[in-house]
Amino acid sequence: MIAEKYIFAPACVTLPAAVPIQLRITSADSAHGFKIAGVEVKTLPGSVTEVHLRFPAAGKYEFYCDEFCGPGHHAMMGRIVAVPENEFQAHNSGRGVACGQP
Amino acid sequence: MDSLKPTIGIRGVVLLCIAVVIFSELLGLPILRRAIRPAPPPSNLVAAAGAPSLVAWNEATIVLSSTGNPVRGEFISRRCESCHGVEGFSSQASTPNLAGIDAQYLWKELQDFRSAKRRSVIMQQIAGALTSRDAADVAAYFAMLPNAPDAQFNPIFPQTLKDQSAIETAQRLLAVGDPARGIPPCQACHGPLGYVRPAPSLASQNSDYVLRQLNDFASGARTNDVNLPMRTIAAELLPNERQALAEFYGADLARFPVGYVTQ
Repeated sequence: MIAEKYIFAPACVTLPAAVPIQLRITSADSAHGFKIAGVEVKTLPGSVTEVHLRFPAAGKYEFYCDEFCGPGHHAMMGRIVAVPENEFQAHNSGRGVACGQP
Repeated sequence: MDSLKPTIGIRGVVLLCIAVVIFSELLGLPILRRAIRPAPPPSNLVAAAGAPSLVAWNEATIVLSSTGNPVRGEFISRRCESCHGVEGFSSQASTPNLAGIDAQYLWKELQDFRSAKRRSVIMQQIAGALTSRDAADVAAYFAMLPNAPDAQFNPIFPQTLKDQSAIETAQRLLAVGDPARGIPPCQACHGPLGYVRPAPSLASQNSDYVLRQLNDFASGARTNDVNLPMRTIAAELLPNERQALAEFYGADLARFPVGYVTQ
């Protein structure tokens, strides 16, 4: 995942629930934060931040930037949609995929 | 102690180094430092839409794109006038205005046209005739032009706003964006509140062109935004919002920072 002013790419990710997930984030331009479901990390350009997550239940988990990065910082948000593992396996090869319109 | 004397000698060491260099040259290993040369464009201009752009922002490309010679650029720009206008304001709303647009952005677009990373039947041919240095020079020239049109040359900017309700929609998106959908305020990157390079300033851009680009980003027809910001954002924008934004910019309403108070 890439954090840059003022979006996360990909902004909407589908992941399996109740499975250990490793998320690797880097920043393209300035210090950004990444906060989701009680986990909070910072990202910096030139380095990769690894986050280990596990979503206990299926549902939508929103993440946002919590390091002030400019006039668009308040809108720098995305969401992770956790689906049951059998649904996730049926759709793709095992990596998170971007979801469509809300 | 004779057994410990080096048996190769100084001449032997020098010959050994030369042999290593020659051997690695034959193998293609970059042992000797080379001057940075920009990659040549592929001979086949039709590349896949998913092909990587030849523009990677590193020291070489940033220096090249920001140190164009605008005097030489003016000479090169004479061939651009028929579509993009004498003062950088074009005669058709579907052709972009180039006056005052960031030089690095213009350079990147020309490079992407050359490699067919960005598709345009006309621009691919034209950009293919320019070198990287030409592109930097003409980008520097257009970047220097004032972004307020001169009435005697340009008849079409600003365009008339067709739908008054578009103003409120566009103001909200410019000033606040839509955090629920992850849409940042447009004016935070495209000005006039903030500028994130190389996002182009949209304050003096034509409405049809802005709409076309938003639609192309949303559909995936345009893929040369580095790290996918515009594809992500445009896909979240509804079609009526893209229309409202395009008309707002084309009507010259984004000249100063827009404020919006949520009711």
